Amino acid sequence: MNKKQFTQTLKEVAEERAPAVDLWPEIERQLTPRPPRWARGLQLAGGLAGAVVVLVAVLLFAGWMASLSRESDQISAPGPDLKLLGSTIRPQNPVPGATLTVTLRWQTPAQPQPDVHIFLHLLNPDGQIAAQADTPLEEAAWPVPHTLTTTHSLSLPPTLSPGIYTLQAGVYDRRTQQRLPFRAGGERLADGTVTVGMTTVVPASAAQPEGPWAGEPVYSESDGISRAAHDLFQSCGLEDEQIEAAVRLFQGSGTTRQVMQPVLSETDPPWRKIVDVVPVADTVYRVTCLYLEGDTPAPPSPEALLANVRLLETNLDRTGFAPAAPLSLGTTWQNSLGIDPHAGQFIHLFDEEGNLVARRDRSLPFDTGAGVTSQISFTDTLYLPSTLRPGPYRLVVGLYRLDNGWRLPFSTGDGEMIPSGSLSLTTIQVREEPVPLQPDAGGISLDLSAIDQMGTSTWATIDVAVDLDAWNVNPNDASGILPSVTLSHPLVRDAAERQYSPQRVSGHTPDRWQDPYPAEITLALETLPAGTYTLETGIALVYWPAERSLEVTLDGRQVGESWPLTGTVTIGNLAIPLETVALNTRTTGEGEELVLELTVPAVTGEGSALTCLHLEPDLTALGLSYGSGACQPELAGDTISRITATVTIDTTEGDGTIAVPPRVTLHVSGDLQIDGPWSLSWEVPAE
Amino acid sequence: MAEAEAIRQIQAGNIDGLKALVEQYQLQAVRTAVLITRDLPLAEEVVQSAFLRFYERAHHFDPDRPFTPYFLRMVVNAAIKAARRRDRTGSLDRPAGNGTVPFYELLPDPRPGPADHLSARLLQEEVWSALGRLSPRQRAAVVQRYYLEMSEAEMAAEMGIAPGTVKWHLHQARERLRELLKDL
Repeated sequence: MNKKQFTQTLKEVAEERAPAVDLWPEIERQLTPRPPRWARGLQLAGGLAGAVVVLVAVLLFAGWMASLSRESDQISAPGPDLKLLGSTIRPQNPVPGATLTVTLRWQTPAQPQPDVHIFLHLLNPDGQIAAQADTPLEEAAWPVPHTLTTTHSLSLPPTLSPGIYTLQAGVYDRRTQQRLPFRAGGERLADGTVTVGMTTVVPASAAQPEGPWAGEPVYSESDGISRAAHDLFQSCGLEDEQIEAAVRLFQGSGTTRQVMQPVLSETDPPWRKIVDVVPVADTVYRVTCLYLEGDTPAPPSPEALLANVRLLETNLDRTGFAPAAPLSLGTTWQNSLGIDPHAGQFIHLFDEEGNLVARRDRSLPFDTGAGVTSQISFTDTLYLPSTLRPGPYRLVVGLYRLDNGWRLPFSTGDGEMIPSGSLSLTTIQVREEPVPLQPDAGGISLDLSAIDQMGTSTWATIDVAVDLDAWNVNPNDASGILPSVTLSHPLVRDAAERQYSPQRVSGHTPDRWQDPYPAEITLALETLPAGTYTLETGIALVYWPAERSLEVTLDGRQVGESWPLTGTVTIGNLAIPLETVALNTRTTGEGEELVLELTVPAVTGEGSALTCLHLEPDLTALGLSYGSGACQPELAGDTISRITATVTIDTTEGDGTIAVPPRVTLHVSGDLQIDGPWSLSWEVPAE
Repeated sequence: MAEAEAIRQIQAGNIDGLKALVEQYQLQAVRTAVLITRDLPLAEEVVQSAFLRFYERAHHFDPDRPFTPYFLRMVVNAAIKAARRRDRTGSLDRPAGNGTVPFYELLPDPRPGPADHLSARLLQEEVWSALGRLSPRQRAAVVQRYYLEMSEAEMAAEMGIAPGTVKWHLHQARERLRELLKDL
C-alpha cells in the first residue's frame, strides 16, 4: 500500500463510519433557553395583578414573594460566566410616568471586566422597546465568586398605554458594543438576553398603594433589629442555629439592602437561605425569605446518591501555590442514578481557622436517562487571593444541590462514602510569593520580541533561550528527539494588579540542536488596553535530555525479575537517583514485546520538579527496529511519589520467542517544571 | 454565509452564525473525530461540544482568522482526550528514531500487490483495524497528516507543540502501521 492508497482508503473509512451527521438540533437544544419557570410565574402574577389591583395582606404578600423568589432562585446555576440569580420589579403595577425599579441579583465567578454594562428593555405587547435603562456593572475589587445586586430605574413615558409589558435584561461590553454571554436558569443565553419579568402598567386612576408596608410597618427599629430579624427569620422556617447566623449577618449589614447567603464557612450548616432585607422607610424594613425549606423538589435519597454518584478522580496540579497564583483541580464525576441530581461541584479552600478563603462552583450537567451512566470531567482554576498568607490551606471538593445549596452525599472512586457531601482532598502549602527572577536568570533568558494587536486579541511573542551548559545537556549523548521549551502558568498583570490568563500558549522549537536552545512562544491574550503589563511565568522543559545515557545490563536476568539500580541520572539541575528496574513482557496484537520499567523517586530541588521521565532505547546498538516509551507518574494523594518510565522493545525472534539482549542503552529525558517565576514587563502604547 | 460573517454573528449573540458553521464543518469534523475515537456517538459528542465551546469563546476569536484549522485543532484535541478517557489504555508516546523518512517509503513496496486483489471494503477494514491498534495520539497524528493532509509544520503550529514532537508521533504511528499493514 502506498501513501496515495492509504490516504484514499482513510477517506473512504471516514465516509463509511460517518456517512452523514446533523448535529444542529442537539446543539440548538443546548443553546436555546427554555422560558424560565420563574418568568412564567411572573407573567401569571402580572396578569392577575393587572385585573385585580388590591392591597395584599402581609402574609399573602410575603408568601407570594417567597414563592416568586423561590422560582427566581431556580434559575441560578454556577458556571464560568456572570450568572443572573433572580430579580424583583417594583412596583408590580406601575402607572404611566412612574419609575420602575428593577433589582437583579448576580453572581460573578470572576472579576468582571471593565466596561461591562447591563441593559434593560421594557417591551410592549408588540415587542417594541417602550423604556430602557443602561447601568454599568461596577468595577471593584470583589472577592470572587461574589453575589451582588444591581438596581435599575426605568422611567416610564407618561403616554405609555396600559397593558402587559415584558422586561428583558442583557449584558454587553460598552467598548465593543457586543453582547456578552451570561447564565440564567442553568442555561447559557444564546442571544445575550433573558426575560426577567412581566409588569402590568395600569391607568393612573387604578393606582393603588404597593406592598404590605403601605398600610403598616412590617418591623420597626424600635423593636430592635435583632428581635425583628429573629422573628421574621423564624417565620421563614429557619432553624435556631440558622437564625443565629442570619441575624449575625443582618446586623453586620446595617440597614443597607442586602442579599445574604449565610454559607460562609465550612462550620456553617449545609443550607443556604437567602434573605432579602429592604429598608422601605427610615425605620421600617421589609424582610423576605427568598427560600423556604421543604419547598424544593425532593432530591434523590442519600443512599441512592452514595451508591450512584461518584467522584472517580481528582487531579491537582501541584506545581506550587502562591498568592495570586492559579490552582488547577481536575475532577471526574460519574452519575448512574439515571436522573439528574441537579448537582453542582464546589471547590473550597480553607485556612487553618476554617475560614473560606477561595471558592469555585460549577454545575454538573450529567446526561440522564434510565440505565444511563454519565461521566464528566472538568478542570477548574481557582485563583488564590493575592492577600493569602503563607501557610497550610485545606482543599475541599464536594457536591451541592443547585437549587438550594444543600450538600449532596456521594462516594469516591475507591468506594469511600462521603455522606457529608464534602471531601477534604488535601492540604496545600501556600508559600511566600516568590521574588520574580530577572529575564536573564539561571541560564534561561526571556525576551519580548513582539506585541501585536489583532482583532480582539493581543499576541505577545516571547523568545526563550536555555543555556545548554547551565542545564547539563550534552546533545551528542541525547536521542535524535529534540526537546521543547514552554511557559508554565504564565500570568499577565497590569499596573492595577488585574490578572490576564493567556487564552492560548503556542510555541516553536528548532529542528536542530542550538546553544542556547531557543523557543519562540506566543501568548494570545484578550485585548490589552494601553498601560504597563508584567508577565510572570515558570518554565517547562519537556523531553529534556539527561546529561548522559544509561546502560542497563540484562545479561542473566529473567522476564518477571526486578532488581535495584544504583547511581543517578542528571536532568537539568536535578540529580535523580535510580531505584529499580523490572523486566517484563506485554502482549500486543502481533505477539509479545519486551518491557523495561525504570522507577525513580519524585525529585524536586532548586525550584525545579521532575514531572515525567522518558526512555528511548538505542535501537542501533540493539540492531532492532522498533521501540517506544511511556511515562507513568505515581501519585500519593495528589503528590507525585515516584515515576516509572517504560520502554518497550520488539525483540521477537523469527520463531516468536522473545530474546533478552545482554544490555540495552537508554537515552533518558525528563520533563522539568521550573517555578521561577521569570518576570518580563512591557508597555502597550495608546493608539 | 461567509465564515467571517458567521463568526461576527455569533459574537453579536446570533446563533444563526453558529448554525452556518455547524452545517459547513460538522461532517469533516465528525469524520476527523471518528477516525481518532473510533466511536461515532463519541465523535458526534466531541464535535458538538467543540462547537458549543467555540460559541462560548467566540468573542475572543478574530473573525478574520481562518476558522477551520482552529476548530479542527479543538476537535482533534478533544477527540484524543475522549478516546483516552474511554480506552484507558497505556500510551506509547515515544518513537524510535527521528522520523525523517517519508511514510510512503516506510510502507512496503508500492508496486501492485495483494492489496490490489482485496476489495475496497476489505482494505478499509484493514486500515480501520490498524488505526485501532494505535494510541489516540498516534491516530490523531495520522489523521491530521493523511486525512486532513496537513504538513508537519502546520500540525506543530496548530497543536502548539514542537515540530520534533509531531515527528515523534508520526514516526511511531508509521512504524506501527507499517507492521500492521505489511501484508497489504
